[in-house]
Formats: sequence, structure tokens, C-alpha cells
Amino acid sequence: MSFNAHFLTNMEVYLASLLLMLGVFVMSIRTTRREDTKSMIYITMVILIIIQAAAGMIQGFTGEFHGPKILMILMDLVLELALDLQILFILLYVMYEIFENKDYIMRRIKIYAIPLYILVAATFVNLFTGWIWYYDEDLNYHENDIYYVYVLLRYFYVLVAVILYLRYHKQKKNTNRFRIWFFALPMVIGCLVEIFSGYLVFMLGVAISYAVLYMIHATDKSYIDQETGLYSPYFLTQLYGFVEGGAYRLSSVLTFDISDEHDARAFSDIIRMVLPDECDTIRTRPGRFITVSESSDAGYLFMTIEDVEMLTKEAGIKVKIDTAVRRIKEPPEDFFIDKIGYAR
Amino acid sequence: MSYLTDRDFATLFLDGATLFLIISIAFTMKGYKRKKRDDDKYFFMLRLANCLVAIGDMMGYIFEDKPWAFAPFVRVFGMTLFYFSFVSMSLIWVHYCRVRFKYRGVASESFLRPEYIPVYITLICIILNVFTGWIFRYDADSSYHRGVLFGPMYLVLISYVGGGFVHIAKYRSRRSNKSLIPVWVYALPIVFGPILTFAIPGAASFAAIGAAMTVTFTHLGTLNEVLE
Repeated sequence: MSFNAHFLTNMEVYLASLLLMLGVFVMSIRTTRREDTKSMIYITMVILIIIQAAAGMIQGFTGEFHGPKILMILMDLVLELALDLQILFILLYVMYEIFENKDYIMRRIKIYAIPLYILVAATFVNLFTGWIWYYDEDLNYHENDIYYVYVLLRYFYVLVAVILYLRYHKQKKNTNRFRIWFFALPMVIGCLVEIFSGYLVFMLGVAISYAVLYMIHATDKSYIDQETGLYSPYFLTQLYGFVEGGAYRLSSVLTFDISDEHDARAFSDIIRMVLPDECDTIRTRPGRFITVSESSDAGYLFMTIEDVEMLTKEAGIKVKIDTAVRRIKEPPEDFFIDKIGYAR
Repeated sequence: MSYLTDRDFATLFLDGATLFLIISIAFTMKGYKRKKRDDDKYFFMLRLANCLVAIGDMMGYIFEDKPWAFAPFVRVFGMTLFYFSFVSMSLIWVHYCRVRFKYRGVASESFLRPEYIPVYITLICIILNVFTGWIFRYDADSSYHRGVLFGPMYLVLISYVGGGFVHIAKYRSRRSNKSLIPVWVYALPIVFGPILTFAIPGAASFAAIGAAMTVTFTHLGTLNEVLE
């Protein structure tokens, strides 16, 4: 049995996308909480690629083996709609990455998505009119000139979403920019290769981007304590790296031990209220929180302790507080190991 | 550009995707400082071998039917690199799984083990293939032919790849919370790849991208263990 070489190339690309996304789906579904909207959007994006890849393969085989025309058209419809939804969800994901207010995001999306609604409507209208594309009796695919406007609009959305994402992360503190570029590049390269070569590589580019996105976010999430939103113990190694490298001049450590671990969430809210943004708090054990700072100002420490004591007393939380300030000649990394109990 | 066929493009896309995935893992790991693990060096070797598989694959496939003077040298070198790296990868994979998914105390990290002898013999045969043609050869018309030891070589490769998955399955069965992903997620791409490549004439090699997916899922599984 031999196949048309162009068809085979496209099928292999589809299969690679499908297998990659299947694995990423199984991975990500295990660590996603339903209340985490951004993660649920990501899972939907992955599922849409799986649907597109499967539909693309069925469509390809139908065309290669001269299957029923209705199946070709149906799979084409599924592909086009999934692609439009894909673009909407990419935009939604980027908006959730940048903004926090859900109402604001939904208001913005309703306006930005208007051209996409038109594309979806056009896809359905095309079923009856063939104005954008159609299949002839030999199941050969034909595009009209307006198809290129249709396609370019989609690619434009993707490029805008990628640029917004990159711009946002460029402004963010402590972001490894190389990692963000590795998310954007496959999508952009896939987009350009498909436009100029005609091979259906965009989907593989998107699939790789999603896999890299999961790597980036799983890496970042591993630093965050899921219950309180403060740093997890895994962040200690990262922080030690900053201290050892001189990027962080550790000067003081505040240790909070709460007697009841069930108060952890309430306590973390108090910590966020009291401490300025430049203090980092790590939950090293269920009942222990360590706040590190580059400041050793006695006034700041005293006020922090006073505020925490007052607020925890109001909330009925029992907490024991210890402070440590680095001596001038003491190396920051030794102070880190000694006061935080960190083992290299 | 007219020298590049559809299969050449497929090879470029799939092997390009392989290299990108492997390099992405390296860069995302670079931004993530964590304590060193015993299996880190083997995971690095796995990724390196995967890159060499993709590079060898590209050289072997793309230069297979080209009329250029240096093409014969490049394709023989490329295919030798491809098979050598792929068989090495199967050894590194089973070794990595022994260390990473150990279930009987500390796993010995030495590569000098009697059960690895078949792989070492296979690797020697691949190197000697340049003179003997035992694994593959090109005839006067530059057509690729498999040698007498091609089947045994693949048997060794599949056995060691499968051995790694056996380690994962046994490790998973001993953990009460079953936090590892199902074994089939790791295994599917690397098993599917060779089947596809052999079953469909004219198909570009799925070996490198299949292996890259398995390596990617292994990395994601490690990240997931922290999240769970």
C-alpha cells in the first residue's frame, strides 16, 4: 500500500500533534483544580488540538481513499470550528495571564472576539454557499480568494496573543525570558511555514507551544504552596541560588509558627496584608512560615511583628514569632543555612 | 529547494520538532533551581542521545537520494549516528529508569553490568557496519538495504526500551497513591513510532519524535510529582 507523499507528511504531523497533546492532557488533568479558571482554559486548548488532529486525520484518510463527501465536509467543519475556538481560548488564556479581574476579562473578550464570531458564522454559511472553500465531486479541495482573508485573520489573532504574552512577561520581575520565547517560537514558526509551504505544520507548532507552556507553568507552580498561595519549600533552593549568587542580599528572617495548621490560609491572608511586596514568605512546613527580607531595619521588623500579633489575636490564631538579623560580616549564605535550616 | 521531497520535509518537521522539544526541556530546567537528583545526569544523557538521533535521522533521510558528491558520506555517517544513538538511548533509558524509579533501595549507577552486554555488542556491530554492511548498506544506485543483523538490532533496542517501562510499571504498582502517570502515556509514542515507520512505505521516521515525546512526558511526570 503506498500513499501520496504530501498526504503522508500531513498525516505524520497530525499524528505527532495528537500523541503529544494526549500525553500532555493526561499529565495536566491530574494536577488541575476545577476552580482554577486559567488551567481549565489550558486543558480546553489541549483538547481542541486533539479534536483538530483527529478530525484532520479522518479527513485526510477520507480524501485519500475517496470516502463519503459528507464525511469530508463534516470533518472540515469540525476542524474549522475547533480552530476558531482554539484562537478564542488562546486569547482568553493570555488575558487571564495578564489581568486578574474576571469581569474585565469577559467584557474585553466579548469585544475582541467579534471578528471570530463572524468567522464561525461564515463557516456555517459556507456549508450552503461554498463562498470560502468547497469540495468538488472528486473530493478535491478548492479555495476562493476570500479564504486568505479568513486565514490571515486567524493568524493575526494568534500573533497578537503571542505579542501580548511576551510583552507582559518582559515587564514582569524575575521572569526567565528565554523560557517565554520557547513558548512563542514554535507557534510562530509553524504559522509561517504553513503559510509559505502549504504543509499543515501550524498544529504541530501549537502542540509544541502548549507542551512548553505546561513545562513553564508546572515549574512555576511547583514553587507555590497550593493552599496558601505563598512560596513552597521548593522555592528555598531557588532563593538560596539567588543569595549565593549575590542577587539577593538576605538581611533578616522572620519565622512564624502557628499552633493550628488549619489556620494556615487565614494566616497567609494576614501576612499578605501586613508585609510589603518585597518580602518573600515561604511555607516550609504545614505550620511554619518564614519571611525573608533584604532589609534589617529595626523599625520595619518591630512594626511587622506588632501588626501580625494584633491581627492574629483578632482572628484567634495562636502564633509564635522569632526574628533574626544578619550581622554585617556574616555571609548571607551562611545566615540562610543557619536561620532557615536549609540543607544544601 | 527542488531537491527536497515531501518525505524530506516531513523529516525536517518531525526532527526539527524533536530538537525543539529537547532544547525546551533544557531551557525550562535551567530557570528552575532545585536540588540535584541522582538521575539528573542520566536524564541529560537521554536528551543528548535523542538530539543525536534526530540529527542522524535528518542526515540519513535527506541525503539518501541526493546526487551531490558528499551525499554518500553524509548519509552513511547520518544513519550510523542514528542507529548508534538510538541503541545507546535504549541503554540510557533503562539505566535512567533503574535509578529514577528504583524500588529496591539504592540502584547501582554503574553502566558495567552483565545485562547490558547485548547492547554493547550491538553498538560495536553498528560501528563495524561501515565496513561489513551487517546493519544497513547502500547499493550502487544509492538504495538503502537492511543487513542481516538489522532485525536482532531492533530486538535489542525494543527489549531495553521495554525494560525501562517494566521498571516504571513495577515502581508504580508499589506506590499506594499511584501518583505516576499511566505507563502507556510514556510508552505510546516510542512504541508507535517504529511501527508506523516500518508499516507505511515512504513514511518519514517517527523514531526521534516518538522518543522525544517519551522524554518530555518523563520530565513532565517529574514536575507533576512535585505538584501532587
